[in-house]
Order: sequence, then C-alpha cells, then structure tokens
Amino acid sequence: MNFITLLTMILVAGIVWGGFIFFLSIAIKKEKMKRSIE
Amino acid sequence: MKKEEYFTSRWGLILATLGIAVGTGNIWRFSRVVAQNGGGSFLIPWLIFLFIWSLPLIISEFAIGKFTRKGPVGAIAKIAGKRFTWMGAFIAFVSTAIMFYYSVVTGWTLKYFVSAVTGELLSTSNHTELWNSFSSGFQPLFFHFIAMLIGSVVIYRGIVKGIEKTNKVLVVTLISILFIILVRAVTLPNAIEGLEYFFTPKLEYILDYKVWLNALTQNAWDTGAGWGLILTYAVYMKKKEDVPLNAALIGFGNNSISLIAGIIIFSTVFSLSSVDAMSQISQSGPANTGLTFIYLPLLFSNLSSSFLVNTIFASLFFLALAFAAISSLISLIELTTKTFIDFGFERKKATIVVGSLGFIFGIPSALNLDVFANQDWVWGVALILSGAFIAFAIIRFGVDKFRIELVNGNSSDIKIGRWFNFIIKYLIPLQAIVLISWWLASSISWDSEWWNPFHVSNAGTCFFQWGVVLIIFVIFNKKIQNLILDKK
Repeated sequence: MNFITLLTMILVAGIVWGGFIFFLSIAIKKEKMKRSIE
Repeated sequence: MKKEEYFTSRWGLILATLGIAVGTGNIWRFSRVVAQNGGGSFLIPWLIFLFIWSLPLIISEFAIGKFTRKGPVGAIAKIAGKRFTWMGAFIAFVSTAIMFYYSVVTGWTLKYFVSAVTGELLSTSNHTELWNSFSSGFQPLFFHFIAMLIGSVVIYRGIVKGIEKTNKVLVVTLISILFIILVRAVTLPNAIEGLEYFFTPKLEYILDYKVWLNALTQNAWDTGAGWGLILTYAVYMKKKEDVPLNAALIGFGNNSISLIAGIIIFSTVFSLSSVDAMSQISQSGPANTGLTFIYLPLLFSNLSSSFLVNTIFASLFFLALAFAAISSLISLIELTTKTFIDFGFERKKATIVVGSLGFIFGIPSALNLDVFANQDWVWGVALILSGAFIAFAIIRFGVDKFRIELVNGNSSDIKIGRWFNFIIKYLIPLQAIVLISWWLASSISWDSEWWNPFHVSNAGTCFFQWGVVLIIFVIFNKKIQNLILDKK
C-alpha cells in the first residue's frame, strides 16, 4: 500500500469514524451530566 | 385529548433516525458508485458534500420538526408561510411515491434472505437466471405485501412501542452483523487489493466534474437529508432534546456505515472474483441490482469450502440488507401516516389507509421493472428539489433567526456558527440547481426522445410527473393549508 493510499485511508476513515466517535463521546458526556443533575 | 408520544431517550431517537439514513443505498449503491467513479477519488468529494449538503439539511430537518410538531406539509406552511404549503405537500408526496417502490426493494431483500437461509441461493449455479425468474413472476408482489405489512404493523404500534423499539433491534443488529462480516472480509486473501482500490485517489478522477456530481447525488440519496423523514421523526423529540449534536451523529454515523459496507464489498469482490473485479462491482444490472442480487451470491458460494459457513455469511449479509431496508421503509410509512394524522386522522386509521395505499400503488413496480426504474428515476431526482424547498423555507423564515432560535436553542449541546447561514442561503440552492440540471441534461444524451414522458428515465417523464403533482398542489394550496392548519 503506497503512501497516498494510506494517507487517504487515514484521512477519510479518520474524519468519518473519528467524527462519529467524537460526537458520540460528547453526547455520552452530556447525557451523564443531565442524569446527574436529575 | 390523546397524550403526545415522544422518543423516550436521546439514544432511542438517534437509533430510529439512523434507521432512516442507513438503507440499501449505503450498502449496494455506495459501492457501485465508488467503483464507477475511481475508488478513492470519489471519497474526497463524498466527504466534502457531507458537510455542505447532508449535515446542514439534517440539522434543518431536526429543527423544523421539533419546532413545528407537524409533518412536512404543515411544517413548511409554518416556516415558509401559508402560500408555500404546496412545497410541503410536494416533499411529502415525493417520499410517499418512494415508499410505494421502496417496499418492493425491501421485499427483494426479504426474499433473498429467505433464499439464503433455506440454501436455495447458494445451491443454484446461475444467479442471473434465479434473479430473472424471481423478478418476472408474482413473488415480488407477495414479498412487497409482506414488507408493507411489517412496516405498517410497526407504525400502527406508535412511536415508542413501534418505531423506537423496532429500530433499537434493527439498527443494533445491522451494525453488529456488518462488523462480523467486516472481520471476515478483510481477512480474506487479497482483500488488501480491494482496500487499495477503495482508498487510492486518482488525479484524473478528482478533476472530473462528474465524480463530484455523483458524490453530491450519493450524499443527497443515502443520508436521507432533505426527504422530510428526519423532520417527521423530530416531531417526536422532547422539548429539552438537542438539535445540532444529534444531527452530527446521524450524518457521521450514516457515512461511517457506508465506509464499512464499502470495505466489505471491495475486499470480498477483489478477493474472490475470478474475473475482472472492477467490472463486476460497477455493473448496474437490471434496476441497478446486478452487484447485490446476482454477483454477490456468486461470491458467497466461493467464500470457503464449507456450504454451511457460506450459507451463514450469505444469510447474515441479506439479513443486514433487509434490516437496513425495513428501518428506512418504516420512516417512509411514518411520514405519510403523520401527514394523514395532521389532516385529522387517528394514527391507527391512518396507518391502515397508508398501508393499503402503499401496497396498491406499489403493485406496478413489483410486477414491472421498467415501472420500478421509472419511479426510482423520477422521484429520486425530485428529492433534490425537496432539499431545495427546505432551504427555501428557512430562507423565508430568516436564516439567522432560524439558526439562533431553532437550532441553537437553550437545549442545544453544541452551537452552530454562521457558516450554516452561508450554506443554506447559497450553497444548497446552488447545488440543487446544478444537480437537477445535470441529471436532466444527461438524460438527453442517453435518450434521443428526451421529451417523451412515457420513456423510463429521461427529462420528459420527470417534467410530466412533477408537473402534474405540482400543478395540483398549487391549485389546491389553500384547501390543503386549511385542512392542515385547522387541526390541533
């Protein structure tokens, strides 16, 4: 696998999956906060 | 008065909305379009359009549904003004027309799942013949009936017991199955070749405007953004529920599943194909079914020397496909049902009416692939118009007011910046105009009688069918708004 392919893989998968995991972690944190307040 | 139902939690809402977005388009259309548009070269514009088409429209739909508490017809009337009720009616009609034939597609996936489980699918030596004999007979009608029945029963049971509970099972199972198949696919010999093609960008493709237009089309069709479906589910989100964060989860979640499906298909095809893998992935076949219903079953037969193992993986794949289709079909049925509810129908009565109409109007597509392809073409392109109408409604409402009051309200977990205004005001309308013009102009090149409204897929049939629907809705605009807005 050449460098450009690897870079594209890391960038595309990183942004898409990383983005999902990032927003999911914020959502989990916010839900925990809401529950602790309730 | 009956108490309003709401999704019980954020996770219930997210799983249900992911069920809308994740459909057959993520699994079979995505891989085919990637293959036809230079593999990794396609992924770059596909990612860009996630940010400038899908995400802003998903955010908008969540905000409109939560604010108006109406289906697309009443919602657009409330946001854009009563004069534009016909736009909401058009959005609702387009998704209803899609429901008629999408139920047929759901039926195909159910049939292939049954075929895989019973061993019929992998026992046959000629998969083209199997598909042709199935699609030319009356079996698609039976499976279309089953699909509409399943979808209607879910909607009949309501938001929490029906939509939320069912999607929790469907979406979680679908993702789990995809992960199991993913592990098998990437560990196949030569799977790396598929991954290399899938992720290698080629400059000549990146510079080709058609690749960009196909990437935009894929985003418009597979995220469910601009269809009015997310808007309909957002009607049932609690007042304290956030908009932007949930929207981001749906956009990224949908594309994450597309990537997983792409990796599975490319790894499997490159590993097991004895002939040219690329031509097999990119072939459309009848009604764009070639890869999924003809070629993949052939590959599953060669997965290992054990018939049982091959049957298990083929069954899992078609079960995932069926679950993806059912979860999307449910949302299509709910959109039409919600429209009937807004007209004053009670949910259970509305579901029976919509389920019956869905079955009756889906019959032509179930029995004739040309009718199916025609409806897929006409209403698929019309979805881009639906997205533009949603952007238009927000512009009428005031984009900045919309962003500050409806998107970034007190309950929002993250705030959306001014970039949203620019995208809704300029980029969405521009993308919609370019995309519709390109698709209609392209049809002239593949049909010399492009004006003929009775051909399967050309500009004429779009103008004719859209025209009839739009004229009726514009003429009866006042009547529709009275029916919707008078009801509590």
